Amino acid sequence: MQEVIGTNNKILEIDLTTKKFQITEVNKKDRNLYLGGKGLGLKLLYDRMEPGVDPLGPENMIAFTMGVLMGTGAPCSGRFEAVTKSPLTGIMCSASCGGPFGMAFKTSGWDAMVIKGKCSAPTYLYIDSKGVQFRPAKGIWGKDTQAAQAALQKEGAGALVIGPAGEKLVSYANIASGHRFLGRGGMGAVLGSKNIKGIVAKGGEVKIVPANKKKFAKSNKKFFKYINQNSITSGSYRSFGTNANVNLSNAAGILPVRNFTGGSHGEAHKISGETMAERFHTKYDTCKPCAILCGHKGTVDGKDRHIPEYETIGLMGSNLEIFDPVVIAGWNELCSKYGMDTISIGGTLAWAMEATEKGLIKTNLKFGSTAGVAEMIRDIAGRKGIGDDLAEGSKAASKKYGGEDFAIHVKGMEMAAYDPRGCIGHGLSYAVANRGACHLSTSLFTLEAYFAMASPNAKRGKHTMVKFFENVYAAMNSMHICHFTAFPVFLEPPLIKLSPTPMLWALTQNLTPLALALMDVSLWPELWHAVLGKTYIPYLSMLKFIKAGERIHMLERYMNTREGISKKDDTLPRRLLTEGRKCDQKEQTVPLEKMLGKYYRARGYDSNGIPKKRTLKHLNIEI
Amino acid sequence: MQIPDYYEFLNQAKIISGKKAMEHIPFELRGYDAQNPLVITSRDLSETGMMKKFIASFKDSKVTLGGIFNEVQDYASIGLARDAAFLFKERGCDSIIAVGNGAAVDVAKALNILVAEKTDDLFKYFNGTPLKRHLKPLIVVPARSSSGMEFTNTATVDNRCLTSDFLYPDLAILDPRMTPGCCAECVAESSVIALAHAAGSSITDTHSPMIEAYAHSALRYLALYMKKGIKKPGHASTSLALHNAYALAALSFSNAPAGMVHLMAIELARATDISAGKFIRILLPYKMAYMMYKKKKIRDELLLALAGYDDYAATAEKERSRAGVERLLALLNSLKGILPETMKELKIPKYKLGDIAKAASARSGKRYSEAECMSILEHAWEGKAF
Repeated sequence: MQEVIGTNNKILEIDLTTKKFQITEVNKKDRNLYLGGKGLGLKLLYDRMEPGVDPLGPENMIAFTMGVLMGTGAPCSGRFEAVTKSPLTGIMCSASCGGPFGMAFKTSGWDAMVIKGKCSAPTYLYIDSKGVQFRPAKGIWGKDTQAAQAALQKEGAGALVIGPAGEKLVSYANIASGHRFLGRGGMGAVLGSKNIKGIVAKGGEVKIVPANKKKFAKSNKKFFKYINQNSITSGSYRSFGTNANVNLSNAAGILPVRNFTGGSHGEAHKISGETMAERFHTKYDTCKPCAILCGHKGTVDGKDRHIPEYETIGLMGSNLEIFDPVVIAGWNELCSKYGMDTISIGGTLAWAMEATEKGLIKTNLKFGSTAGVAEMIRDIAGRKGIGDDLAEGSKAASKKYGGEDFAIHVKGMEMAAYDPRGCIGHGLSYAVANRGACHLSTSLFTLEAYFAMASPNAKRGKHTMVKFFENVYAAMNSMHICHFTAFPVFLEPPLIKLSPTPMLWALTQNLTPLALALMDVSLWPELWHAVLGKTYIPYLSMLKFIKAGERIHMLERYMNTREGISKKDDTLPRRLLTEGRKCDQKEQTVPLEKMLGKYYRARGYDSNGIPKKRTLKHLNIEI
Repeated sequence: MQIPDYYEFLNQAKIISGKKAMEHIPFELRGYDAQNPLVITSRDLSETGMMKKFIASFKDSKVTLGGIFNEVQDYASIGLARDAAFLFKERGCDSIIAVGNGAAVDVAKALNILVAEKTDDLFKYFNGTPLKRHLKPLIVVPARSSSGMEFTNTATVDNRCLTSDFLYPDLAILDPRMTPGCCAECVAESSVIALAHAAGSSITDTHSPMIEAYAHSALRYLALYMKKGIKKPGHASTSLALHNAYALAALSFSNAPAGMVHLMAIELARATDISAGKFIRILLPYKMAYMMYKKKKIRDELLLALAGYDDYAATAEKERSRAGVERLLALLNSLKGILPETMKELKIPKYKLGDIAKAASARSGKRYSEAECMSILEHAWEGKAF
């Protein structure tokens, strides 16, 4: 087997219309400036794609990009990224997945793949180290994600597939790999619009070897140690999955209830990770390689099923006032088979329930009732009846039927399961996140609502925190490594671990820049450096790493502004800006406007939210 | 000038314009046998202090305001109308005063249907059940970025449009304490909306002497005051003149079929979350160019309204139509730097135009074909002349 030191740097560029491909290379400059994963994907599309293209047109491109850690055995590195223009939001969208396709693709000798054009008939792509073969997908078109993968997995070590929802161009259709998904923004519809049912990679053709094995082993050891001593990664997430968040969110008043009208509920414990672990005898079923083990499956209703993630539980559970985990697990499985994002469909169903309640539409959906939900999921996937409108998401549906004041989305993307009225910094983060109401751009709710390391209701310093974490996570998603490694990396270094929480709270509250300067994220760049050696950046310092994240974030923002994004879009749903909640002692909303101006100044945007030329120049972004 | 074989025209609203106009409200309310009005307004208007001026105008009257419902933001929903109806009944109100613009007035109109028809179901009216009788007394006090739509017989609630002659306000108050604009851009947008409404109804084939009179006056006022109003948005008498123009334009608009520019701008605004005024500024020149390209008759009266009698008389008869269009374009060009001139500036993706054309055509009841709409949209997108 061929050995690759560090990374192969090979890009597979596929034109579906002509059924031709070419092999290009990741140039050294791009690798230095954009690292890999998300950053590289954005840069590849920035160089190749004009603004204003139809997300479902042949001119839209989709990039699948690996990080430099993929294939090295680094902890939690089995993740890859996809970047495209989203049919849900009309702007750039990136998503991360921990399924087996990434490893198979990387060990077929590729670092990235850019797909454009459209096949004339349903097709799947077979990829090996030589390139790509275009194979007819007649036999698997129409099959659900599990059946399609079962068919393709005979041909390679990992596959990506879309379900029937992707074929029907549902705006939030996802792409499946194993039991993991490129979940958000409708990437499945983009592949569907190109007549691509799946992509299978042979894998096992090359072996990735770190350039500096000794350093890599040392960094790895330290990383494993941190992961195994952190209370989240080795405790609650490992034992209860991401649903460990349910009780935390409920206690903090940020669990979405009844389409974000409430923040906690007396029955929330029924859908908590703790309850499900006990009730369903859960066991691990995770990305590979993984040291955290947050993905779980269990025996639900007599069947071996995947335990829904927290976002699914929040959006399809409490947000619909459903507290039966068996029912939610069933809906989760249905969405997985059809290939649909459970956050967006949950948000859209909640909108539909409230719209029905208010008489704007006629359905049999009702808060607290399971009746009609499974049928509606099927109707959405098949675009039948009103399901056809709901397949466009809550923003589009509310534009058609009214009810914009309770459509809970940002930039067209439905909000994740953290109500920002209980963590206002996270509210700012939602409003300015590049892909829409994204919980992963900063995950500030953890510091504000879970760890008491920042005041959930104070505005001070939140713009600085949002900027810092956006930069760090953009870089992390370009390595590419699991989001949850942030817990041990941020919290386990001795300076933070040994400091009393009240002191950290006081620091983040009053001296935010100093508090952030104390955050030691050097473990990530250490790993990157150990894998690539001195071939690229002589030494990827922590500051260079964060600056790369800033560049990646800024490039994405700049690309979005070319699509028309500006201050008018950096907002929150009206409900969160105007309606208080009864669960709060003192009803409050998100004081967004007051934080937004400061954030723009910190970011180097003009007053309309457009990156200034000098900001772009400072970050070496060519315009 | 020919009289049409048949036409209808309705202006139900009494208009009181000028200094201390708001002080007339108590007296007018007595005329409607009402003494306990519910006030519908927006939160931002309350925050700017304008509501204090409104409330102060009742100081020496014996009228007690039944309540102030200031929950309206920039979106009118059935939910808000129902909440307001609850307050209306709870406080035993007998009339409605809408202070503000757009959404606040739309909520007030929807509320009026709910309380006057004693129903909780607005949908039957959206679905075609006609209103058959007078509703509760409705007074509108346009404020700040009003565009005149408050005077019309339509209400847009939860993105559904309802039109009925019973939705005209009974009384409109134009008070210089309330009319000053907040910024040049707002005044420009309101003015350009009125310009499109007046020009659209003036050049339409279905014009009537009444529409002509209203539209002509609106255009005349706009020609005289628009630039000044944009330069000094807070100037009281100029803003009052402009609000009179907006009212005149809206009343002519209410009595004529909706124009193509209006329909396309509404659809574009809905699809992009950018205000309709900006699109009207972009589309109006292309609509005029399209009409000239297709050799459609543009009535000479456009020149008369925009240029005045002297210039009109000094222009050769066969040149008047073109000269009128040129005057209109010159007025629009004076907005350079304030409102965008091309769709590209607004970064509207071209792939969305097809849906916009289809929706606008459908909304016009196929008076305008999809191809016509698309042609104008495409030219406007590319900035290409006909």
